[in-house]
Amino acid sequence: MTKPNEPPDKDFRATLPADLQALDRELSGIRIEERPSFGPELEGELAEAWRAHQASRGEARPRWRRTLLAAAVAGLMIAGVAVPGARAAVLGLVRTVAEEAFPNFFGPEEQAEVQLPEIEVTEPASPEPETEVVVSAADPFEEPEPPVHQFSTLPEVPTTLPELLSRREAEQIIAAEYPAELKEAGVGGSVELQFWVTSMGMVENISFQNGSSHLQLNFAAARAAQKFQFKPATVNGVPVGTLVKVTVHFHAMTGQGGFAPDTSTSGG
Amino acid sequence: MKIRGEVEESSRSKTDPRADSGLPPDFSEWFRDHQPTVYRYVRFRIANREAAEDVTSQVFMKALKALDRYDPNRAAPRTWLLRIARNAVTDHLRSLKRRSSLHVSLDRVPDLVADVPSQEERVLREERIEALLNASRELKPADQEILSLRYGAGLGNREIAEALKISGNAVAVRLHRALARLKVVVEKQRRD
Repeated sequence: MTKPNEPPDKDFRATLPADLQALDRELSGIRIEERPSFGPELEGELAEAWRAHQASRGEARPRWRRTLLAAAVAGLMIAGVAVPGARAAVLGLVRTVAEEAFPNFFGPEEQAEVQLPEIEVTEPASPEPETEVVVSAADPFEEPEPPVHQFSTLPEVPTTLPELLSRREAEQIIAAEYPAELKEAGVGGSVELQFWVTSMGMVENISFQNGSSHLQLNFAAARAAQKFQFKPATVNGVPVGTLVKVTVHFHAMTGQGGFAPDTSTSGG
Repeated sequence: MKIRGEVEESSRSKTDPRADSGLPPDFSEWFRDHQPTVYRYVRFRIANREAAEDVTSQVFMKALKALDRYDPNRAAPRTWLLRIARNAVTDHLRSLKRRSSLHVSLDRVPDLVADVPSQEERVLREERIEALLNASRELKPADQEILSLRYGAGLGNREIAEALKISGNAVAVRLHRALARLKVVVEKQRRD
């Protein structure tokens, strides 16, 4: 912030020597006139971007609900770590929820059961004589060695990545969305997008990773991606949502569109 | 989010037909109030109008994305927007520097000349503006910065002080020095 005793701006020029006063006057005389339609155009683009942003957020929870949910999760985690009983309850809850969401991942219930070794308990045939003392080889005061746990590895789950139903159709969509004025002006470029391909193969939550300096190309790429149709990714044969990165190319010379899917995807 | 010293949206929207722009109400108001300032600042520092428009677009797009993080206690909206603009211009100039295309040519300055009656006078004025802008690009970034805020964005010393987080006296000193250095460069270019 400024100090209260700073010199008023209107007096600044007066503090300068004559030659710098002339330069100050000259620079102050530069009138920057923007293109009259620039402001409204930009406002329209911003509104469009805002709508896309809002749509991608979908039915976002209100801030207070998110805060409450985060606090509840944090509380459960703390309780889960601190109290063994609570920890078991939380793990049980998580497993129940996860099993409902991904029944095939966990497999049938009986497979998850741990097979305990059978223990035979037999009554002694006759009471042992009181004088007989059985001495075991192990020292009773020596601490028993901890049991060695055998961790079994999780079974490999067959997965597939999402695929476009028709690459040709996708290219036609990109070409159709290529803004005519940019195409005519020979302006092309690439836009890297990231989006979620749902278990139904639909595109949601588009975001820009590396956009073009031409905003219209960014919006065109997002519009095109919204229309892509995918064969969804699968885990164990069950369709799941997946995060996908795709680079959409607008070729200025041909007016065609193309794209290159990124290999980095993550399922959910 | 509430903007310092501005009218509540609920009362404004009843009277202002421009209120429904599809943008968040606060942001819409900022855009209308400060877009010309941001553009002039950017245009003063960037050699051609198309690039200045692109960078201005980026500034507001970034601001829109970062709207949730804006803290009115830390900066007024215009200061915040100009801060984003400074970074965007720096990024742009860095990319241009790699291509050595920082200089203004005559066909790119007509939008910087207004209120000039005769064609002859207009050409002379364009040449002079071209010389001044090209000379300013020889200065250190800090000098370019402060000159752009004063002569591009049209800010007063107090507002420049707020934008740069320095005192008003420091602004006056820096402006004085930047003008002196600009004059030296202009004269050197004239001799060459």
